Amino acid sequence: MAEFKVQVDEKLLNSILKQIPEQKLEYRHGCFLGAAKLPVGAVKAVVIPSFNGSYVVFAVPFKEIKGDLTGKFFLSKLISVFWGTISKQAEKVALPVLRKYGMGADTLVIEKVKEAGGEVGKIKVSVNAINRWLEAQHPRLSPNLTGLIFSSEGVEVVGDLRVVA
Amino acid sequence: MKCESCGKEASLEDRFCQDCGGRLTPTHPVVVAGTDTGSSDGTAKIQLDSNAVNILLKEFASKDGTEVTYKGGQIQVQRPGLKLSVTQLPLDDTRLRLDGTFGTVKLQLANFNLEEHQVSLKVNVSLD
Repeated sequence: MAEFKVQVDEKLLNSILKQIPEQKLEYRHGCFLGAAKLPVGAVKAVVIPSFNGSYVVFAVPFKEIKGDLTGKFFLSKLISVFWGTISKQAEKVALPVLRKYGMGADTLVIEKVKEAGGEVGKIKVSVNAINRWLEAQHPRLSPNLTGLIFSSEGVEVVGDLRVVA
Repeated sequence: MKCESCGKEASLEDRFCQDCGGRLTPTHPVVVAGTDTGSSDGTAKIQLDSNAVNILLKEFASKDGTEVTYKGGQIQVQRPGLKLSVTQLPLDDTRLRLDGTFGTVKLQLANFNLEEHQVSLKVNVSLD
């Protein structure tokens, strides 16, 4: 085992997020807070990141989505438009970037699931695909992502190196 | 490195072409030493266990009959007729500028420790 850890603090992560155009994302207490202005109204959402070994998962619990429209009907319309926009954007923006770096369409999974706490939108990035890309960057060192820890301090990336003779 | 606008050869440290004034964007990250980092945009901590350090040393530092290894908090340099042990590297406050297609990142080492089973470093980062 040859392990490396890189911890990026909350301040640095937010500085990096500010550099990404056309989005309003902020990292706070282990979650991303997102804001978007849609034709039907403004919306704020919490994105809960996690790592399960196979995927890096960004979960958007629909019950945590807040909009500037009141009333159950309008809010549910807003959530539907919001998730539709997010999932389309994820495909439109992320897939070409993934393809550019040699990752296939199987890298990204976008789904809406029903969980105990209500509906959740999920954007999942395959760890296998990330590792195939990492290995291709330096085949002899063969770096691998083995963990991602999202905490109030920041994000910790854990990986290992495997020497390839 | 060549200027994309006029094709004139430019120094790796240049950010603008001396000839036409065009902005230079290196195709690969370039590390330049001794740059003032300015205010920090945050901090990164890096930890490498002994095995990872040894893999990196073997790949990047051991060459031409010189073997560089890491053991018990010491960097050992060995070649025929020479054995050198480094127990401390005074790299604190070392400043680097990393230029790449992603932009410029300025790094300042705030801590660099050779420990029994790992190497740890803390870096103040500023983004341009």
